[in-house]
Amino acid sequence: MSLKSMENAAVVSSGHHMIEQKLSVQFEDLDQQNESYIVGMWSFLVTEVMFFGALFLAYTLYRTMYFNTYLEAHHFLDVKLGTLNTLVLLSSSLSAALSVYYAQHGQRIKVVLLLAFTCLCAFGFMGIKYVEYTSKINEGLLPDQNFNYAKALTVFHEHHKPAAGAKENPRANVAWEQLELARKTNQVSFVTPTDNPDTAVVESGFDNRVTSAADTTARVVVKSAARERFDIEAGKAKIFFSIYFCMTGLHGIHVIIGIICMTTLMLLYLLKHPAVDDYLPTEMVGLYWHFVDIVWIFLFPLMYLIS
Amino acid sequence: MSTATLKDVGKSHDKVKEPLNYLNATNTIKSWLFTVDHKRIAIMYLVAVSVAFLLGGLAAGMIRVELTVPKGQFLTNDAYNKVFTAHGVIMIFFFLIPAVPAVLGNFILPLMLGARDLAFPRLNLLSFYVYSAALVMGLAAIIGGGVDTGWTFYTPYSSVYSNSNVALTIMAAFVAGFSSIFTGLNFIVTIHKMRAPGMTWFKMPLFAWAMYATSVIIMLGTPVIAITLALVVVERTMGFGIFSPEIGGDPVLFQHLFWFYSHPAVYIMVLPAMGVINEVIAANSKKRIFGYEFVAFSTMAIAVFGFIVWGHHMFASSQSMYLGLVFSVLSFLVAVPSAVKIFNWATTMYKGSVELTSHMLYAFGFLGLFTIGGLTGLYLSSLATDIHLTATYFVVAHFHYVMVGGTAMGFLAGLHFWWPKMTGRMYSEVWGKVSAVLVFLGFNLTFLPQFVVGYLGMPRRYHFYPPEFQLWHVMSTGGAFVLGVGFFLPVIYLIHSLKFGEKAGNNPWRAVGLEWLTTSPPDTHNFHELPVVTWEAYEYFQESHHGGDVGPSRFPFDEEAVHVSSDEEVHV
Repeated sequence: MSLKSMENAAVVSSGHHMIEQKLSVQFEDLDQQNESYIVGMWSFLVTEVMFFGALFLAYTLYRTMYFNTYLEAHHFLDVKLGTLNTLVLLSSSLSAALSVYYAQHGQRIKVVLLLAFTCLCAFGFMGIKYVEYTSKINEGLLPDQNFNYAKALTVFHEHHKPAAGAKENPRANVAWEQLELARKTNQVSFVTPTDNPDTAVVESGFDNRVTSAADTTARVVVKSAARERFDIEAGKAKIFFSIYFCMTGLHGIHVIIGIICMTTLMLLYLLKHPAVDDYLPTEMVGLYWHFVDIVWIFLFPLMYLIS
Repeated sequence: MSTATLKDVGKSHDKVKEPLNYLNATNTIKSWLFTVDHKRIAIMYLVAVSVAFLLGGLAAGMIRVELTVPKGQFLTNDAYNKVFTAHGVIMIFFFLIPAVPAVLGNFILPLMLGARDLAFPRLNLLSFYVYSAALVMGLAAIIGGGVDTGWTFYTPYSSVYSNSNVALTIMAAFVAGFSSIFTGLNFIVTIHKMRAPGMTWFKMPLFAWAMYATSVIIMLGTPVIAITLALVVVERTMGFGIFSPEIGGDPVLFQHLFWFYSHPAVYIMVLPAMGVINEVIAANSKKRIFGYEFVAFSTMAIAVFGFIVWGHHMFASSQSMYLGLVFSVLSFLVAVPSAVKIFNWATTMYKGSVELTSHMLYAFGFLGLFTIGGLTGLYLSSLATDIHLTATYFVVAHFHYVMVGGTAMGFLAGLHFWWPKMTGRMYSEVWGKVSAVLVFLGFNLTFLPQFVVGYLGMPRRYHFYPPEFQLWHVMSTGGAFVLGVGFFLPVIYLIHSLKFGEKAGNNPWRAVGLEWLTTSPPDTHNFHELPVVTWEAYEYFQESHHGGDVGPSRFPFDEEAVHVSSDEEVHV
């Protein structure tokens, strides 16, 4: 094939519609070009699987090590909102699949409408996620320097008397028990990062341990055994919430990228751009969106439905 | 776009304009910066990785100078930590990983497969800019304060305690990872879908197999390190806890995830170099690679084994003893496909008409040095000896034998082999040989003493040492400067050849392979007429159907080349 003829747009017919698709110069024919896009997209998705894979590994490792902590900490996640989000994302997946179907049949209006619905669902998902994140942050569960599990547990148990899953399953109460024990022995003066770190924090009670007693200028932290055990539990919970925020955060970033892709695609359809004469771009975005969906299908039970 | 053919070229092409090729087709800076031509992108990559290599080499020079006296002489402890980290980060993320795939692979792979370009040319350009951005970030971090974690970024030092530019450096490595993912994706699609008609998988040159295996590793491994490094940044900047032992996190998890990528990354670095060696040895022995299928499968085997041996980096990191045993056995297994390659290359040369060109000398260097590097790897994969050798200069010497002796030698071999194709010019063969010999001698002088001093107990990453080690360190430093000269010579004579080198014919080495069918330098779209492959790879002699050779390859050499004008000179 000569270069001249390659530059001309090749013409293929698809159903009742004559679709003109531009052939890039490096390809011999449209089949080769389209197959290359498909192979490329699937390879990219393999990369994405590995990208999330490392996080799933970390999740699994700590779930095995600290299962009771996972059991207790996951009660803070709102199952209702999580379920709602799952439904939202599943419907968006349906509309994405349908948009590919109509793109194959050249029905542009339907494609745009379905993509718009998918986008709407994506925004809805992010909106619900925003509500969830905000409440977690307000409860002191964002695992940064201000992470305050004691406060979160206290508030949680005030609102859930008797604690829903907790009473039935004592394993899901490990940190709470230590916290109550610490309270009972009247040793509760939980240090928050806003406290002056130079001030010695001394808590009364039995079983005190004085660290670095020789150095009187050093900050002396005296903790009761119960308090110490609670801190260990709170540390494990911090790991759970770190993984929760990293995994759902990374997933959220993917949702935002999906919104950008779908918006671009809709614009291309509305502008009747030659790039979307073929259904392939829609198929690519569809594949990506299904991947985002599948990740959530794994995340939801792993995070929200631990038992 | 050029539609000019070589028939337009007059009899004396000194006076008539040179035929259009990818270098002279357009001349504006913009046409380079926004090019989607894989050949131009490869040239830009060549410049970028050379800059990285130079900077990493400067850091290496500082390390060697510092180590000539037992008490150190011009670097503080902190500065020394930063210098060796800079050396590691620059060399690994910005030279060794992209060197062969992004420069030679980018340039040669589409030509080898008989394609007009990679499958996704714009993604290729994006890959280059992503790499450049990462390089700028990395250099900014290193120059603006430095990093002292070592290139491995082990937590919790990197995530909590280190008081240096860890976050920016890690982000640079993270971004560089995307650059290699883009290149790997491009190669995978290109090899799957863009091969010339008739070129089946087992008619592909072995360099293409090496690129495929490398790309598979990149696609599967790089995302894991990317997310792991991102977690360290989140932990460091926002105070999240994932690897932090303070709250019950597992720093060994970081090491597992890190080496899950970084061990296969060793094969990302060395497999492409092995691919180059196939081409160079076949062309300089004028023989088909012995046991082609075995070499192809050994390439894929290394890619697979590479993913199941990472634990041998953690024999001394509180990993369970039984896990250590398994990883030790699996690590020994990697020696099998590697040895298949070495033996098959040796057998290829047996009874071949071996030509001692400069690129062949580099390939010889590869064979010797990589073999030493591989065999000393067995000491490190044995549990008992590794306990003694962990974190000593023995390890340093071992991986430099594999990385410099393997990857850097392979890169230079390939660069010399394909330089006439890339630039259309011949370099000075004499200086090429001088450089190859200097690199080989300087390298051994630098790193052989490190095996000894490491075995005697010199820990890596220390710059104070007992005076009895000084002799070995002085030898090593002397060798490093010979090595430096050897590495710098090609910069001079290769650049010199651009202007003053003789014009190279289409096929100066009388090699087979589709890249030698087209002009040197190639046309923007590589081939005037896409080739149809009917022959096996490396068909230096046609085999008859009844067994035995029936004579020279049907592959056209310069004299009868398809697209060459009659007065093109042949340089052998």
